[in-house]
Amino acid sequence: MNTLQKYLPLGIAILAATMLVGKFFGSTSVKVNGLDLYAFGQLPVQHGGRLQPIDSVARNSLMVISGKQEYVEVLSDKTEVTHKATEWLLDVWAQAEKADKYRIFRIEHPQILNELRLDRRPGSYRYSWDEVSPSEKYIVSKADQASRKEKEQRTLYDVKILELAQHYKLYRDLKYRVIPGMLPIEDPNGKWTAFSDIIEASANKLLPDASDVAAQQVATELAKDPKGFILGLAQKFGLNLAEFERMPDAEKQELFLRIRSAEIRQRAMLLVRDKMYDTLPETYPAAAQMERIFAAYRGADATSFDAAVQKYSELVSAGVPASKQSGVRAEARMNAFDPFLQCAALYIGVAVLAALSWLVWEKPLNRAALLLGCITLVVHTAALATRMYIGNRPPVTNLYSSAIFIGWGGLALCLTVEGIYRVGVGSFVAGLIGFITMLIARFLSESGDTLEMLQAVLDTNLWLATHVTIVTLGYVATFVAGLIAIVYIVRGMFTQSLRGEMGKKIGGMMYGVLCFATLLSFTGTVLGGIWADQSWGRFWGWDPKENGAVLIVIWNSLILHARWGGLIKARGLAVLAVLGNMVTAWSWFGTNQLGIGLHAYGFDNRLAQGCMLFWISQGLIAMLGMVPLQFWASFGPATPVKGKAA
Amino acid sequence: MSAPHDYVGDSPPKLAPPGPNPVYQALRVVASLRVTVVLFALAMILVFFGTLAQQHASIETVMKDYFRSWLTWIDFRLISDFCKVFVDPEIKGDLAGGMPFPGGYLIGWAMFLNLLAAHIVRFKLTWKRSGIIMLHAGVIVLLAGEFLTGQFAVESRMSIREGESARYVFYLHEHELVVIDPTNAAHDTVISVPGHLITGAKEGEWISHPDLPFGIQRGTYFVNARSRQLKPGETPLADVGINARRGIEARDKSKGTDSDGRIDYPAVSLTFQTKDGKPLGTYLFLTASETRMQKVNVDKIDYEVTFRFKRSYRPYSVHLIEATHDVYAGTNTPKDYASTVMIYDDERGESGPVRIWMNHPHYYREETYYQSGLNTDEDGVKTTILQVVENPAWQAPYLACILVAAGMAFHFLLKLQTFLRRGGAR
Repeated sequence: MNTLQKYLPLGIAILAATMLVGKFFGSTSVKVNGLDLYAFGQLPVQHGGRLQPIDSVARNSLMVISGKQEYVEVLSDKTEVTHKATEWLLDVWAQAEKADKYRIFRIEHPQILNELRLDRRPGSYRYSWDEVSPSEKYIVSKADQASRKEKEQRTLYDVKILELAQHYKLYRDLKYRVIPGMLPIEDPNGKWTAFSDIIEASANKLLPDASDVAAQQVATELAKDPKGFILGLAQKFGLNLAEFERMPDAEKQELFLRIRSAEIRQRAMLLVRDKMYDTLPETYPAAAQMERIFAAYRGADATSFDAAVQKYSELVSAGVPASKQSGVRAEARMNAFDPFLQCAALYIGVAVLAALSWLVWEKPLNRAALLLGCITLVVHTAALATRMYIGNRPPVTNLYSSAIFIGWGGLALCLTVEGIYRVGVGSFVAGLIGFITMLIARFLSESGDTLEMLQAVLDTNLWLATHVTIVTLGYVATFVAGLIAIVYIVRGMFTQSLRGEMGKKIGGMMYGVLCFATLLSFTGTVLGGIWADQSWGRFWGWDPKENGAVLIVIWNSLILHARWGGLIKARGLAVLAVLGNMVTAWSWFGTNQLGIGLHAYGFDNRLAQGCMLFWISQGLIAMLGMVPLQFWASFGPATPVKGKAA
Repeated sequence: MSAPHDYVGDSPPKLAPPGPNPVYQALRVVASLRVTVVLFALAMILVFFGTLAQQHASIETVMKDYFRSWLTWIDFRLISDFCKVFVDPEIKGDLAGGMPFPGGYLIGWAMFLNLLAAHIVRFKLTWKRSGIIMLHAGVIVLLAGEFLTGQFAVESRMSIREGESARYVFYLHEHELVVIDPTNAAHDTVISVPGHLITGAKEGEWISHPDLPFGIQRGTYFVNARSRQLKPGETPLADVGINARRGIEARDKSKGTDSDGRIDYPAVSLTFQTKDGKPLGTYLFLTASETRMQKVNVDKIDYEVTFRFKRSYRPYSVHLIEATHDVYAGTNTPKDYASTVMIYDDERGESGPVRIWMNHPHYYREETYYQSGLNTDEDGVKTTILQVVENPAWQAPYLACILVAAGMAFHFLLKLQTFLRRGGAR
């Protein structure tokens, strides 16, 4: 072994670790025109029933509305400017005239585009608030019609218009600051005060006085120049002056009283608004401070922006428990660092190194893969633990977190296997399963907040921690066995590397992991039944999700009994384990598609089709595995390999 | 570990010499692991199609047809539906035909016999095999528990308004036509016509019974329907009663794949006539408004009639003191439902207050009360819905879980120990 080979694993590990550390500390510096947007982004707000940083609200909202976590502005000279989500939200709040021109609403349905009188924009199909908002009434009424229909009756148009209305409302609520809850002043239900609540409260308080002042003003002006004032008002409220002049006196008088009180109301509201901003520092100091942040942002004044953010943070944090604040900060940090993206890159590295080790430099590359795998485990575990800390939940609470957890579990299990066998198969499978699950998680995060609150029936940490975690680990082990089986089939079919010891080792791995999978999936499934019995008195309800879980249990038991009965050996085990991937994918994703799939038009069938492609691929691999053994490179008649000593 | 063998465990058990005993021969065939594998495969197919079938039918129907039956019918239409979801929703047409398939009871009992035979043929009580015996004993308990649940468990609901009491439970899948004779001042005389007599009758067929003050002719039956306003020019189904000027909106039957736990509210139009053949008109009854009694006048007696979810009265009443419905701050996502109740029992006196909430049921007189749902009406008064379950086999899964998990873990650890003692993989 030469020096290069000796130090290669360590070198790769150090390189990866350095890059990660650099990324981690560099990710918090998000500056636009010298303004510290990261500091603004980590301010706490209440949204979706939980405390979260402004940055999360911005990212998830922009994701829901436009399908991306950033906004790319195309300037008139075709140059592109990328705005981070936080910057976008600041624009919405501080310089609406600019943000309202950002093209973020995704509208593709031709009929909707026609009805909104918008041109088609192939490639992006995105439209701005200024373009969409003139049709607000139209969108709301069409969406209302669609929402009255039963789900099965909705057409693609209905689904799309409902989606648009929902996105429109989200933007409007953000724009007028109905959401998020800004100030830690709670109503009896624990809801934080939003800026729109402050306006309402101020109006209620200030309106009586302001109305008096406005009435006084109107009376004075009327006394000064009665005719001119009345004509002025009539003009302002769009009356036909000639017609107004011709009216009988009584009618004229009545109409005049109506427009006069309308005028008083308008003036009073203006007074309230001015007055409100004047009194804001006393009544809601933090809200006034937020206005200062916006003003500094508009003026691109870095010093006062940073100082205002700092001051605001102090004002708000007085009302928030320290533990919750650190959760919010951790979430902002996680958003910036994006650990699962880093993990995805690391997983590719692990898989590539492991696969290369079967071709050249077996030992050093193997060690490098294992070391890199351990570094990945550190990052993935830390990220998973941070998510658990932020949400105060066991690891799996929704489909997104199940993908994250399956990646993690796969890595941990594979590294254990690799620790025992040291043949690179564990590392390779870890890289594969990790990368795929990170990809799936990224896809699932498109639907919004991945730390969303749970529906009441799921809100039990005990069962989430036991049933859900164990059943998900059952998925993990079944997938790992299935992927090892793929390695077995592909290597056995196309290389001679499974002759002798290696074939036995991989076979042993598959068998061991399958036993583990059976244990976990059975225990997890039965625990689920016990949870159901505790919740509604029915241990087993035969619903699609339960059935999906029991299919995994039966399939794993079938494989093991077939093996014990001598019906299959290592190759048969591999084929059946690959089919096990299909069963697990059915349970994980397939069953969820049934409820929405059959009758609903326009449902997002990318997941369903993804399942189908996966099943087909697994079916093909299983068929490959059924080719008679004499045609396998590893098991047929041996052919000497050129240039390699036996 | 690669040599083929036909036993569970480490070493081949010493079999009795194959003699002429035909019972033993037969037992060996039944005990074969090949049979086990075939049964597992059949179970997978059954469960898979039993899941697909829930796209059309409710869980209860599928459970009865597929899992709690001896023989079932697999419709090939399910396969084309599967393709519509996972390949292309635009696929037109359905596959015709189907095939008979063993039902859950048949497969379950076959598994039981296979398991029993296997343990008789190869029985050997050793330390090494104790894990395997334990886990299979657990499987038997699990199968038996599910069988007993299917046979004997009864699920019902109780609905109570805040500040009021309920003395009865109702069944979601059984209905009854009730005729109340109010002539006796001391107590009402209640005549109940089971719903299956009505659904079992053909449209236009007459049902009569000596206890009934009038004859009943079945009209149109809806599995799930609500009342609505009449459309212009529409002829109503009923010509008398409270629904004589109302239309009816037929809804889809609820399905197992629905995620919102919808309930079917059936409706039926019925024509009555006196025993001597005098017509009394056609009424429309909706279970969705079962509390609104309709009057039928026969021989100067105003009978009160309604079609409702079948009830069963209890010798005690449950009084709802308070129902709470918490949401996550600033959202409409429910966080928790809870009901605080008192129980007033004619024989056992009062007990409570008891708080029933998510995952925290209350056991009373062989029955268990679970928080199931909560509705708030326009006046802000809450109505709690409790699921009431009587299941003599409820302990079975708990015992089974312990046996199987312990057995598996024991066996697994034993194997791991041997594996590691042999020096692992190296």
